[in-house]
Amino acid sequence: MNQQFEYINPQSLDEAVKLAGQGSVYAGGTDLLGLMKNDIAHPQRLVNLKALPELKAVERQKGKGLRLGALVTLNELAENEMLQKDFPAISQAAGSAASPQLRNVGTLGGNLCQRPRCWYFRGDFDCLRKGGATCFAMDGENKYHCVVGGDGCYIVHPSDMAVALLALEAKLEIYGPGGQRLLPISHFYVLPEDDPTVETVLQPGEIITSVIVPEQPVGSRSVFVKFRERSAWDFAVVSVAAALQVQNGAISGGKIALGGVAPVPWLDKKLNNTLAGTALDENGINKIAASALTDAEPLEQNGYKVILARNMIKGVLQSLAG
Amino acid sequence: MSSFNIIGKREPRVDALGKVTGAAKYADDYNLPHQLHGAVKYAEYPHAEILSIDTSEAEKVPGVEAVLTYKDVPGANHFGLIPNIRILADDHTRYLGDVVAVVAAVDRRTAQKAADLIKVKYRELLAVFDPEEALEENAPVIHEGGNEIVHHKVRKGDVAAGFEEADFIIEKTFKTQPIEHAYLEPEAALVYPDEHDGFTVIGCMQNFYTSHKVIAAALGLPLNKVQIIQSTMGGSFGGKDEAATLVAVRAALLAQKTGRPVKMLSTREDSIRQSYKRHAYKLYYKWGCKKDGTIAAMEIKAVADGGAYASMSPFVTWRSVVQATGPYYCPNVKTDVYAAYTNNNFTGAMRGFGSPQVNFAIESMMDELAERVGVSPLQIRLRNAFEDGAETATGQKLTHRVSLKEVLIKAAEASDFERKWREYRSEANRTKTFPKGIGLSCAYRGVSLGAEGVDAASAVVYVQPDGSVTVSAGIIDMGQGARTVMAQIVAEVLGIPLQRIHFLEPDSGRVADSGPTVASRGTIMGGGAAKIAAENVREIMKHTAAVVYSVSPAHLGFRDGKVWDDNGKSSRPLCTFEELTAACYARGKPLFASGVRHVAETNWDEETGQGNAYFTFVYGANVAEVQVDSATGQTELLNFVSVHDVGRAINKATVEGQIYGGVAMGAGYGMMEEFIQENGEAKTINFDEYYILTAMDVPKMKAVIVENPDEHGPFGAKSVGEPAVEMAAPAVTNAIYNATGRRVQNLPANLEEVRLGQKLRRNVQRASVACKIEPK
Repeated sequence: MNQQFEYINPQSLDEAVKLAGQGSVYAGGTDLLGLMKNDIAHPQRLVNLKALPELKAVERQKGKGLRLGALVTLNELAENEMLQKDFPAISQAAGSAASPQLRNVGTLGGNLCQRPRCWYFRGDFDCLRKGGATCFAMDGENKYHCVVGGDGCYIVHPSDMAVALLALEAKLEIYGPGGQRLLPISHFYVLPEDDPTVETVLQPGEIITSVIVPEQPVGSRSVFVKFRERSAWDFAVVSVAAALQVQNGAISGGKIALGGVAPVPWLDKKLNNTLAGTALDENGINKIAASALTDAEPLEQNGYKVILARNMIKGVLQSLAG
Repeated sequence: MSSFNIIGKREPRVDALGKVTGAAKYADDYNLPHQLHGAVKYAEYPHAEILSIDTSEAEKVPGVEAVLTYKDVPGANHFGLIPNIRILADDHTRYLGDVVAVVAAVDRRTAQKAADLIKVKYRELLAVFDPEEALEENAPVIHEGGNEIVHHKVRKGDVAAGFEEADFIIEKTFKTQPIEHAYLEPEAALVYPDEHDGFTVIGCMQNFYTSHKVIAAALGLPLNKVQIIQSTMGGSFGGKDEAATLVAVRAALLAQKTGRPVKMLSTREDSIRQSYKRHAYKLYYKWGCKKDGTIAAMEIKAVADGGAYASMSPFVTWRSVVQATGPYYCPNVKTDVYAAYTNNNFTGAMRGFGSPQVNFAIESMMDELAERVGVSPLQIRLRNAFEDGAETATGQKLTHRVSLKEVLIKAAEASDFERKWREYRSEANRTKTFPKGIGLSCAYRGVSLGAEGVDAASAVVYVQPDGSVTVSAGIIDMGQGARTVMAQIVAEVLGIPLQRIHFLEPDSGRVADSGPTVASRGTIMGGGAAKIAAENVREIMKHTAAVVYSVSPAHLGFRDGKVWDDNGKSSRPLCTFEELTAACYARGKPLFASGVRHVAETNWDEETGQGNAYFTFVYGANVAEVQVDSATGQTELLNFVSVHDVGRAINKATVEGQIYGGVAMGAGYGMMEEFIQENGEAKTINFDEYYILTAMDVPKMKAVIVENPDEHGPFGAKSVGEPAVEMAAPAVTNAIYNATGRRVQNLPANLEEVRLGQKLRRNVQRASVACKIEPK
């Protein structure tokens, strides 16, 4: 962290958006400070959003679904009883992120906008994502990198919340100099083939203000599971979020999203096409699991993620069936 | 010695309050007016010749007060057991944690900015990252004289004849990984010039007597011009020896150059990048066994990765060679242990010190033997275990109480081992999605330094005129509880409450060189010295009391803050401790005494590896119970039992603390810890990438303390610090075997090892390559 910056407390969202154009927005800071320390981010200005109460609401309106303010902390999401009951994937994802200390300050919006954990990106390597010419993971230490969707750059997206919200088909409210826009979370993340230097479509000055989660149909069940190497304070090796409707022992609708396998939270097409109409018995579960990541192209050290993801999908479906 | 007043009690730690309230001052908590801040310029190649260093741009940065390279070191730029660690890299770089130059500036940011402007011209050299490759004939040479740091041998009996006699042979190769100490507090030091042309160093050096010599030699000053004050330490685990000395001596050089106080501080990333690690080992084990489960011959070869500098490699691998056959009878032994230089981070002392690696191999082999003979892991160990009077592989006859069978049986009973082991190895369990397993391990350990070094420790006890007591010790507290233990010993001898004792900060001018606080020698050596010092003070008090009260000195007792006449039949209080103290001072008898603890003789023959390696040993046994997720390979620790014969527990709570912490550290070594380097570049430089067990990963633990007092220890006390950590990993991997039928031969037993039976990371130690870190 070798440079000076100004720190501003805007009093309104409009002011924040105006100031954020030439700086970084600052919420929990749990990722941004690390990026600054590692000499990856060099903002001239930090725009603190914590003084804006409108970003901190958790609301639920009949028919309209759930609205989660971008500045709600992960801990608030994890401990919210309504979410635990009706949207368990959200509280499970929030509760599995990081450590209690980080969850107390880390926010929903910040979690969605995290930058990758790739050790070449975070280290002293002039990699593709930092404007360099090559991806060092491709032929390097790539045990934790992506097995699908990598094209020149093989990061995985680190957010747990994004995986849960993708399965729940959430939308993001984004506010910026051009006004407000509403974007499905499935359109929010950017693959390396489109632009390897950014992870999201956010434009300068744009801020996620809230996340809208549609009310789930009756009979829906959601779940988030995360595989990590230690039981706390660890990013997902692979995560699976499912939000499914089950009728008469068979899946009637819904989605499964995967984390830790791709540069973006991943909706595997073949997997999701296999869901509807498939029975939640042993055969059906095996069929669904086998349909996941069939287009994976693992790197030298990460082929295990494919097995892991399929086994985890089995586990998730068994829990929903039982 | 049936009744003690304070020995054995669960007294609260004497340093606890300061630590939990924040009053304790760690190295970085010390600051002085006008102090400068240091920063370092790292090597850019793991192996290169340095052609030139251009500091001119750095010197121009406003706020910079000094930029130093090796040319600016007035005294010795080298140090170490084999003195090849460079304070500032001179002709070559040998790993990426080498520091080429240091800067002092008005603040850290300015210093770092200037350091980044230093330009170094290199000539790249071939690098080598595999110790076995480093020992090959055409390997790149890292230090003059070749890459072999040391080769230790043990020769006993005739292994060829032993293998002839054997009914079958078990031969396996094992690999262990380098790990980081992960002390809570990274290295820091503040150095300031004093008014007598000398320097004072405040820092968190584990072995401050060594640091003292290194800093004085580097500054070109006599020892009495350099004073070392050790701050409260936030952990060390063997790690703050040379690593912390390097930080302190660089600060000292900058302070000498600028004449101002200089603070040098490692961030976590700096700390992991620069500091030494636990040695990675490759271990080749071959046992010739008989049908009855006894062992006729052992042939063992181990190669340790010493990294860029020798550090403690000669001693670490010496402990390995002494203990490589475990606490088991075997008439024919041939062991060779090598350490080699590579361009990885150098490796040195870490809690365990050469034993965790060999214990992993020995205890895995023992379970393989049990499987072949068809008996349980407990039965096979009981069949081969040392008993009283046993002769070790080095020809040493064990004259103390050999409690190996006692700890094994206690561990098995406390964990219901035999029943569970049979249940879990059934097909019904192993085919489950979540099979359970239970694993046993045991070990013996030579206490203190042994024949590897001079072994003596000192302490000073001073009863002040009001009866309060200060203690200065050469053995330091880095979190293990040494002060509490020494205070209890002094309190027991003087018969006063613990609260009356105050420790002075360790200071190089106060107590004679007591050697390093390592090798689990704190209690037996430091505690022993404190006991002698307290007894020497008590002698002075006894003589005075005998005169004042006309009693026999032999009848005087010290307890409950009073002095008693215990003349056989009755006890009567003569006076309080304070009254006797006052009487002593009134008669011109100051109550100040030192105590020096020496140890029984040890000896060693380098060629045959025969001799009395250690003056006594300790014994322990561990049982781990796990549940394996067969779908993901994740292993969950369910229960852990850790049994240790500590001789005598001076404080049961601190012994248990050592055991719990040791299990967490040792199980982490077994399951997830790994310092990952790619062509010499550290990849795991903070705790997001370097995994240690969290509170969520630690199992339910049961500590069982066994006490067989030893004649060498204060009140019979021996050791627990390293025993606690050194046998946990094989207990875990033996449990995984019990659950899955698959043996883990490469640590750590992380998910890929358990699920796939292999490591995904390519062998980092691939062919020698010239490599460079991409410039920013």
